[in-house]
Amino acid sequence: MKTVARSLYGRLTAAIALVALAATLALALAAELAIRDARDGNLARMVDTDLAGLADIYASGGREELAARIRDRLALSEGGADAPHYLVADASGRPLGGDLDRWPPLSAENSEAGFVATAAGERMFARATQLGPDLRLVVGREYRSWDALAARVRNVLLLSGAVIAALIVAFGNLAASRLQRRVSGINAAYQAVERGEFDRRAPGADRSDELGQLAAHANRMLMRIEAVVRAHRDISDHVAHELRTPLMHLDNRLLRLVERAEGGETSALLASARGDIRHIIRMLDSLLDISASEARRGDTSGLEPVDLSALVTNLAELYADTASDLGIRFDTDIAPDIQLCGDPMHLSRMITNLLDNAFKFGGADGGRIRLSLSSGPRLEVADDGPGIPEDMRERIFERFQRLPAQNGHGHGLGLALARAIAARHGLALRVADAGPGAHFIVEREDQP
Amino acid sequence: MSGLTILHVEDDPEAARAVAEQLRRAGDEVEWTGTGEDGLRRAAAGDHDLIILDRMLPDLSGIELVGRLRDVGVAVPVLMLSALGRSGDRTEGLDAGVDDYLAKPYEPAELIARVRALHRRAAGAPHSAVLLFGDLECHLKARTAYRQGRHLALSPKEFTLFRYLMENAGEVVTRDMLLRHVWNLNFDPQTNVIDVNVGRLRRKLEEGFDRPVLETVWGTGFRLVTR
Repeated sequence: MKTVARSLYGRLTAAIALVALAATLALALAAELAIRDARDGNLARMVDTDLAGLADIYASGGREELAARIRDRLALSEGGADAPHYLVADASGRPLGGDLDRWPPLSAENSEAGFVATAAGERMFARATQLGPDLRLVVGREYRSWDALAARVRNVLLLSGAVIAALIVAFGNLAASRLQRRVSGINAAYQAVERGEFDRRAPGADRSDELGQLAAHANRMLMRIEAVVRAHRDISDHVAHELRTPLMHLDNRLLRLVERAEGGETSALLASARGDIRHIIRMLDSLLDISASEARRGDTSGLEPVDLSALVTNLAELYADTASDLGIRFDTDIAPDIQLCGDPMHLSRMITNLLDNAFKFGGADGGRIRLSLSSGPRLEVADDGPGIPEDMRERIFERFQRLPAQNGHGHGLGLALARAIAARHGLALRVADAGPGAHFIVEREDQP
Repeated sequence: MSGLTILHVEDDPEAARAVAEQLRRAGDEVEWTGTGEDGLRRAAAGDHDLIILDRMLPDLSGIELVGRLRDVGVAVPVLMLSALGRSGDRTEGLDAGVDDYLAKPYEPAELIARVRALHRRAAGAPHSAVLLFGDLECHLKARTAYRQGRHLALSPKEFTLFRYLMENAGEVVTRDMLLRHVWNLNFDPQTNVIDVNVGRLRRKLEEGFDRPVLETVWGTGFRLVTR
């Protein structure tokens, strides 16, 4: 079972929450910039109006009047939020009036404006101007209330961003787990069918949303798979039965003729005809076994734990005497306690087909056949016969493929059946070069 | 062995006639029925030595029939004679409680041999410690073999093979029977491994003795004999 974090929905929820968070951050940044812009314009207007008023007062009332008005303004604004600051100074910068004690780094001749520090170390916006040849004036204003406003807006936005992201995660997970339950139901149905429970169906197919449609599609597909599997089984049984019955009648009649023939050429012909009947049936069974194994690939129903070591040892013993009679060196190397979940009879069939093949082609006097089983499991059957040309190494596993040297021996289905049985057990059968000779290897499909 | 009473359940009359002919020639009595229900009734009521059963019957499958027979406590040995002869079909039949499984078409001699072996196994002394036949001895517990009191050095597999031949001494044992009972295989390999293994055993049973005991029955199988 997948966790929410690793599933599609977890990632989707996380992505949406991140986007919400990023959008809130962008919003906070934009608000900050707008507030700063408004503040700058407002400060410039206030400072410039104040400056122009004071310049008028100086022009009409002279230096004393100016100093008096500055004192009035300072007294009036004491304790206010955005306090004004003033400095009247002579040409050398020596303070003559106002609350600032030092000329700020602003040029009076150019009426320069800018952000500078007050005597107390606060930030303010100020403009300097030249009132007379020996008289300069600076008017400044603090803007703490603007910064407080910006901070409040920022906090509100960031907090609501965090709340929105948290809500998205919470609701997203809720929705995700419900969606996941429905998708898991569909997945479970597929897995059950893969295991061989062909009658399992996905839940929620009666709902009209997309997942309901998906479940309905899945169910139609699974129903068809079930029908195909059943049809395959029925056809196999019927083909076997319907073909075997007339062949059996034919065989019975031939047998009655054999009993009357009293030897000679007729008997030999009849025996050969009966041999052909057996050949046809053997071929038919192999073909049905191949298609049944292929159809049940990956289906683990009906498989049981098999002691592969014991099974291979039993077959090695069966073939050992034949090898020594034929003058073949038969080496076996079977590791103990190797288990596999499988069908023991089919696995035996796969191994005997490989051994039959080795004895048929690598089985010359003085030859050598090697049978080994190691963990994995990995089964190998190697001979030192003529081997298999590189371009034939895949084709020999096809039905009715024979090597040119085979001259019509066998029915050309042994290796195809061996490969189909291997695949049914999640194993892969391939052939490698034993240099010289053929080297068949059976191992797990995911091996390189 | 005296003749057996055999119940044959088979819906194909031609196949039934052939089986009846072959068994009667071997000295057995055959009672035939064409339907599963009737077969079940006769099997439950009658006193047969053996039942030969077709697998695909029109009314009741042979597999079901065996199941119901075993359910009501009828333990008569059953040989299933079926057109379904693949390895998986055989396993299915044997799992369902059938004692032996023979695929059609078959050799008459194979059918006779299976019938004899099946009846012998069902009727034979179950727990004898030593099997005796002529001058041959098979000690089951010690897993040892003797001829004329002389110990024969057999490998474990050779002993299993010898034991199976001894259990059916005097009767024909076919290659398929040996494959199933000694090597646990229900198909025959293309290499003639059985003849070679039996040949090995024969050498051990006969070398140094003046009389053969294990004969090959041409086209059918092998048989332990005394003369």
